[in-house]
Amino acid sequence: MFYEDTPEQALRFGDVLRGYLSITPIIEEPMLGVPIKRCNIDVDLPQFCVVMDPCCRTRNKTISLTPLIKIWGTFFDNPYLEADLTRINRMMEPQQTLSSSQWDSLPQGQKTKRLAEGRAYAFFNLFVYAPHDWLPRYRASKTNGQEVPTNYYMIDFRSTYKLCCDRINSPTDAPLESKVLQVSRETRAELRDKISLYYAKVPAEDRILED
Amino acid sequence: MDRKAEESSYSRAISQGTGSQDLAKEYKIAVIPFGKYEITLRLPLETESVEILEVKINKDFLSYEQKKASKGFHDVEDFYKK
Repeated sequence: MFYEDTPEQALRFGDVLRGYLSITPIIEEPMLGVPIKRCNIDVDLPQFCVVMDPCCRTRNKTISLTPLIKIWGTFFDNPYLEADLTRINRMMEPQQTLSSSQWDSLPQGQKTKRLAEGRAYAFFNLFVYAPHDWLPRYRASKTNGQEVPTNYYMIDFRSTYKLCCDRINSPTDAPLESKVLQVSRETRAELRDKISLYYAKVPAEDRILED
Repeated sequence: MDRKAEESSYSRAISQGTGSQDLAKEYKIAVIPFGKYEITLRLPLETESVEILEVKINKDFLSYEQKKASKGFHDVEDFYKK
């Protein structure tokens, strides 16, 4: 079960909300001197966004959010993912990360390197949300141009932003009418595991220094 | 019904069942971690002896540091970008 049948009266990590702005500052280069360089602030009202604060940390009129975005149609090129796109949220075998034709065309050295990684996450910064009747359907394009109707969505951990709202004082003292869906305890655990490893991943060069 | 009464009614339903034909459980099952093992116990509510139902290896014995060190990730995004 991906979503809770009876959502709680509280804003929780992973919840799908509506009615919140998304803000992205855009600069040409770092503002290190005078005059101040030209900059833009991109303001958008995504149809849905997702709570990225750990449960109980939503407070003090501040919340962390990330937009719920459409999935890449190319996920459907891979039969293993096509069967259930939420497999992206869990670790998988190296051969399952690509279609069989893509895997077969890899140079042997690449295959050996990938096999040595063993079971691991792919799409490290992405987490897929399962279809739900309340999420609108849209058409996603595979590499060959074929369009697939779907209502899978996803979040990108890199798109998380802070938003201030006067009515957010605690998880329960918040505009609960903006809550659309609540993920199940199991799904929230998967989201927590993946985002934890996203930040906890030790890069290869640092791993050598630690050894 | 206030929230506390609802919660109490819910836990009663979970632990005892709701139908008049449903017999209340006379024991509890507990899983106790013991070193690298997990022991499943049957705990009678009356004064009977405790029964060991299962002993199995706890596969979650890696520390968080060990877990994160052992996990790489598959870099495949370029294959999916148009």
